[in-house]
Formats: sequence, C-alpha cells, structure tokens
Amino acid sequence: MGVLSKLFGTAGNDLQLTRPDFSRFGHIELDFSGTKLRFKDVEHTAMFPINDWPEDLDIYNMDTLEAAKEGYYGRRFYVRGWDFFGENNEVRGGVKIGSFIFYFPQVYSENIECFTRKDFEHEILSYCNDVWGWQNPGSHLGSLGREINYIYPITPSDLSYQSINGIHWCRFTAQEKGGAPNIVYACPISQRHIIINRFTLSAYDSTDYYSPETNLEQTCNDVVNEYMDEFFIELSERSQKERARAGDPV
Amino acid sequence: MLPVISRFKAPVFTIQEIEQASWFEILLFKSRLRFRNPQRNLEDSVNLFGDKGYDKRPFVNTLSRSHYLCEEEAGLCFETLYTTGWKFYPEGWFKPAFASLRLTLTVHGVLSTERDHSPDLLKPEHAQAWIVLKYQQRYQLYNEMTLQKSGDDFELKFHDPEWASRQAQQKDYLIESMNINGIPVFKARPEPNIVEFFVPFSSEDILQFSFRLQALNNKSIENKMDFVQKASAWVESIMQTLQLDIESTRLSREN
Repeated sequence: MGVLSKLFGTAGNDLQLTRPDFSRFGHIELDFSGTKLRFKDVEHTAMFPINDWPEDLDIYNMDTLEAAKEGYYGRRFYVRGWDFFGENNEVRGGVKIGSFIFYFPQVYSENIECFTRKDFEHEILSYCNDVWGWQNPGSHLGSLGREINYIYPITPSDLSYQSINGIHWCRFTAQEKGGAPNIVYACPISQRHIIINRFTLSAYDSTDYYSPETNLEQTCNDVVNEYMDEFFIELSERSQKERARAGDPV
Repeated sequence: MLPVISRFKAPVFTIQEIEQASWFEILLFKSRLRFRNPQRNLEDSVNLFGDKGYDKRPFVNTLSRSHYLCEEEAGLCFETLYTTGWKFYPEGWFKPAFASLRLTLTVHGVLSTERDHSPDLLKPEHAQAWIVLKYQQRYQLYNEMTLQKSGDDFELKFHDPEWASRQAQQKDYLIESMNINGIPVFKARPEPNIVEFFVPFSSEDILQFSFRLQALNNKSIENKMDFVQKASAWVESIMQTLQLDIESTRLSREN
C-alpha cells in the first residue's frame, strides 16, 4: 500500500471489499414487554434513508403495531444498510438488515403457539408466501407455482435451525433465480410473537453477486454472521413459562 | 503479429500445439468449464455491440440469465461466451493462409415453452431431442426465406411457412453421443464445414461449441479431404481436453 493511499484513505480492492468494522460499534438494548433484545448498532452507510428507529415496545399493545390484512400485527423496529466498496472506491454491493416483530393476537389467532414447531413453521411459510409468492404465477402455500422466478421455502424441510447465543434460530434463504439472496433468521419470543431478521444482500450495477471478480458473496456472509453473533435475546418470565409449556418446541 | 512470424507460429494443425496451449476457464454460475485453447491468430469481426468478438470470462450467471438474448417465439435463449479463431498456413515460406477455423462458444437455456419437450437435459434422450428441435427451428428459418443476389441487388424471397416446417421435420439430423472425460457430449455436423458439440451441464443449460472451417485460398490446398480430416482431428483434440465441474444448484421443480 503506497503513501498516498495511507494519506487519503485505502485504495479499495474488488477482492477485498471494504466494509464497516463491527468491533468499533456498541450494542443497543430494547425492552419488548420484558423480553430484552441486545444487538450491535452499526453505523448506517448505505444510500437510502432510514425511517424506523429502535425503541422499547409494549408488544401486547396493538396500537403500537401495524395491522396486516391477514390478521396479524407487525412492525419493523430496526433498519440499517452497509455498502461495500472496491476499486476506485466504487460501491460493489451491500447488506440491508430489516428487523420485524409479528404479533398474532387472541382475537384472530385463538390457539396459536409460536413456540411449538408446527405453528411456528406454518407462520414462517405463510410469511414467505406473502412476501415472495406474488412473483411466481400460480404459487400458493406449499407450492412455488408453475413459473418459478423466485425461490423461497415452501415446506418445513426448506428451513434449517441454528443455535446462536442460546437462541434456536430458524434460518432460510429466498432469492430471485440466480440473484443475490435474502438471508432470514426467525425465532419466537412469546406464545404470540415472532422476531424476524431479514438480511437483503445486493450486488450493484454491473457486479454479479456470485462472480469471482469480487469477494462480495463472502463479505456479505461474513457481515450477516458477525451481526447475528452479536444478537442476544433474553426472554421475559412470561415468555419463558409459555416456552416451558409448549410441546415440540422450536 | 507480422505475417511472416505468424507463419512460423501456426504452420499446420499439430496436436502438440493443443497439449501446450493455455487453459480457457469460465465459471457458469457454480459450474466450471475448462479446455485447452491454442493461441488465436485470427481476428474477430466487429459484433452487434461494436466490440471485436466475445469474451465473457471469468463468470456468467447462467441461473439468472440476465444477459441472455431470449426470444420465445423464435425459440432463442442464449449468450455467446467466447469467440476465437485460427488461420492455417501451408508449409514453406511466404505462402498465404489457406484456411481459417472459427470457434464460437455459446450457452443456451431451455425456454419455458420447451420444458415439456425436454424437461431434463442431463438425460441423454432429452438432450438429443432438444438439439434436434434447435436444428429443426434453424432449418425452418432457412427454408422460410432465401436471399439471392442479382447484379448489385439482393432479392429476399419468402416461402410458405408450412412447407418450410415440413422440410425441416423431414430432414435427418444425425446426433452422435460420446463421452469426454466423463462428460456426456453430443456431436453434430449440420454443414460439411461445421461441426458442433453440445455439452449439457444442468437440467436447463447446455453449451454449444461450434467450429466453422473456411477456405481462404482454394488454390493453395492441394488435398482438400486430407486437410479437412486434419482439421477434424485438431478439433477433436481440443474437445478431448474438455473439463467440467458441475455443482448442482438447482432446486427441484414444484408444480
């Protein structure tokens, strides 16, 4: 590395994209009716505005959440984006994180038990079908349709599980055919609540996410893994009791 | 390169030249294609985009097909990956090149309208059916119109599409199947001077190596058949260096 690059900043390299250094940033802690969420609050560097700011929530109060026509309530409580730079300081791609909480109130979902595997997976597969299914003609719950443009989980076997900091997260990917994926982590935090961390991985301009011309795929995966490694959930007493009651828990 | 020097570089077809050639390597999503690629000495003509020839190394996203030319009605869905060519000189001093051999490497994707006809190109019978379909489509197009030169003008004649279709269906298409380094390969000779190799690498993707031999100076070829045989052997030698690492990334189709 030459003197000029030391003086005026690092000259990027497409095979070693520059990305935020997560170790420089502290944690943020949220209280969701007694359940504590703690995660890294890394500076937003992507070129889009943020309108959702993290705050403590009464997750049983439907007024603090937005109603969906499907009969559940939800809210995006955290958004950040990080761009990765290569040669000539050109942005090659990035990761966007969107964190959501979903609430299935008694009035619409009387017997739901999000801690049980069957109900949890049903809600996750419904979520996938709602979010991505419209892009595939003829798709419905359990089918990708007759023309597959978007690939996402349609059966429980498409979901995998991963234990991170004592929490059993459900992990899956969804992507346009041959495109950069969304990596999604989901877990129940109460009998009626599910948290979803959705990472949208992107390649910009002429960069292809999978091309060996950049290390974008590796950088994106590293960022997602580092972010999740610093994500902690401490269930409230009420949630812990609900989890203890659940049969075949997630 | 100066013509005199190039005459030394590419005298006649020598198999040794292929064995010592550098590797051509390209990633087709997660599959890696490699073959020995003798150094070119034939310039490409300018293509539709104003560039000379094609070279899409090191990577083409064959899953997204984002840069393919796809036209369902014409039965087309492809991307040209690479073009190269070689001029061949007779032995002796200061003799002009007598022939050229051009290689066009293309990747084709099965169209959604063709999936019932050829659902899985990794099955030999489906791959052969797809190749025959492509040749039928090509000959139908040729038969639908003819271009004739009359003086300084060109005359374009259109023929009955049904007749053209019948002609294309009745033609025999000889597809020879072979195995190169464990890879199923299909060979066809659509014209006397063209030999084509098809290499399926997923249920919906297939590579086409098209070699076209052209005489540049008929007078200097003393024994044409001997020359064609040498050229064929040279092409076969290139194809014998074919390597393909397939990593399946496809999800099974749900209906």
